Amino acid sequence: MISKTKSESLTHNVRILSNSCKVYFGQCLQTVLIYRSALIIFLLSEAFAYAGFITFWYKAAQSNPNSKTYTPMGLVLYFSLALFHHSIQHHAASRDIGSDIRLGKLSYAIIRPFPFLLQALLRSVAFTITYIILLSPLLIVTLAAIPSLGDQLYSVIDSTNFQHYLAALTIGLLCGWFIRLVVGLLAFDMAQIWGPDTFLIALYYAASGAVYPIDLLPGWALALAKWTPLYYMVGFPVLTLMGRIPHSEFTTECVRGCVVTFATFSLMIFMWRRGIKRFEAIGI
Amino acid sequence: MMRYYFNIAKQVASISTSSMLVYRSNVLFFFLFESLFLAANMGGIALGLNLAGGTLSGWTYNQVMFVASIFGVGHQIFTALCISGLFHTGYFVWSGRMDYVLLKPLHPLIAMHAANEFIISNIPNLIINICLFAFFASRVAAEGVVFGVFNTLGLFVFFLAGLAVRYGIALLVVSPAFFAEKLAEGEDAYWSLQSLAKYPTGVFPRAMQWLFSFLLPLASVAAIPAEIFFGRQNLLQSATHLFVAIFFTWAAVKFYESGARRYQSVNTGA
Repeated sequence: MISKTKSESLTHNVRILSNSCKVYFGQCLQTVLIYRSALIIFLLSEAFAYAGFITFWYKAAQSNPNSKTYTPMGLVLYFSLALFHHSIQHHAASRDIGSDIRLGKLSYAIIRPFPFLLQALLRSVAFTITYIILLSPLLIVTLAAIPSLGDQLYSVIDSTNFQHYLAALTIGLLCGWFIRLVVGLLAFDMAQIWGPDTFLIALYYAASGAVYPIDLLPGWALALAKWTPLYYMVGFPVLTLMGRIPHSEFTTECVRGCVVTFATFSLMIFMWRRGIKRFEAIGI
Repeated sequence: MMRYYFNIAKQVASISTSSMLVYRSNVLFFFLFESLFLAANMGGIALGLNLAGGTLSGWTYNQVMFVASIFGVGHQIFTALCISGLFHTGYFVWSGRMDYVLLKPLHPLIAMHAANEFIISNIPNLIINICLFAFFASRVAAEGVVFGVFNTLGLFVFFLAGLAVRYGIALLVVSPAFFAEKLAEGEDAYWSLQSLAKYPTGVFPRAMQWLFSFLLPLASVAAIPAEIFFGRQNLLQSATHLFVAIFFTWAAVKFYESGARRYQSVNTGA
């Protein structure tokens, strides 16, 4: 009897969780569709900036045909994939959480039947899914329209590589969601979190591989970056998908990624437990 | 009249200082952000140049970094003096706060700057960027570029024109907020577009070079001042770039003014 009650309770919770997912996803998609003209302008300017940015790197690789690091098309592929992985990260999550805490909105969020952090995570998951749906066709069209780009990718993809990529992507997304929440939770201690948030953006640009191929960094800098969650957000999945991380080294990198993810998660839980004790639901 | 504008600037600086002192921990983070962002930008360009084998499209390593350092100085000046007044436009329109801005006996743009802050926390980064500029200027001098009166003056004049172009680009992306509420967030588009201005024009294909020189004159922000300094532009080309920069900025101001005239004090913001 008891086990049946537990089972019913579990089913009930799963249903609520699934509904929450659906609602967050619907809200995210709706927001994107309502602000579609703003989104188009944003995407156009991003695409424009990326075209120029890729041109610089393409020209750089083209100027030195003897370089063994990247071919010109290899760089275009790197940045196409990096842009995709950069765009599916929910960068505004920290600001949203910070604002929930600062304005006191957290007070009604914590009486919901799920932990607040789970709700915050679900919002980020919904964002990521929305942007994967919106951007995947663009990436696929790009790969199809430029055959040498697609060939470059297909030549390294096999089932092992793809499995590795899925593991790397999962680690990267978790790292991204957790680190954003860590920064957002600083709002328990600070009236404004734009300082730490912008600092995180700078760290992200320096160590994630979003603005330059991360494996071009000097060895010591790359080794340092690998002990931060930022490397796993863009560089790790992209390098894995491109086959630039040998299979023999992947397990080590993956284990280190899991350690970093767990450390970031633990920090997030610590900050939440510490912060919620101080929260007085007043808001400023 | 000059005293009037001076007093406005003094008041904004005073308000900015007190705001920054209240949020001093954020000032520290912002300083760290700008420093690290600068390092990531310069580091990225340096990595690209290393990949290219030290020269790119006829530009040496030091010349490309010189362009990047001009870009950096302009970025800090623009950020410190202009972004608050410009990038709050969307919010002011959305929330109806534009009402009292437009009631002031000033041009709407000056009134917006007076109603906002100077980001004085960028001043340390401005100094760092000026030091980087001086460093790369000494490196290009060692490569044989002569610091004459005319090319140095030309660099200064075109640097100011580049700042005006930055201002114009920002106006182009924030002004749509007057026309449609859903276009209030123009800031991201500005950062995307201006990021292209840190490269020498020669790295782009011809069509993009033309576009960045005459239609959306991003080249005027850093590459053209450097080319003037290196003597790569003749008088006619220089005059054309100066004309384009001035015309572009003038057109952007007119666009903003036409938007401000459409403002009807009806908003949905809280």
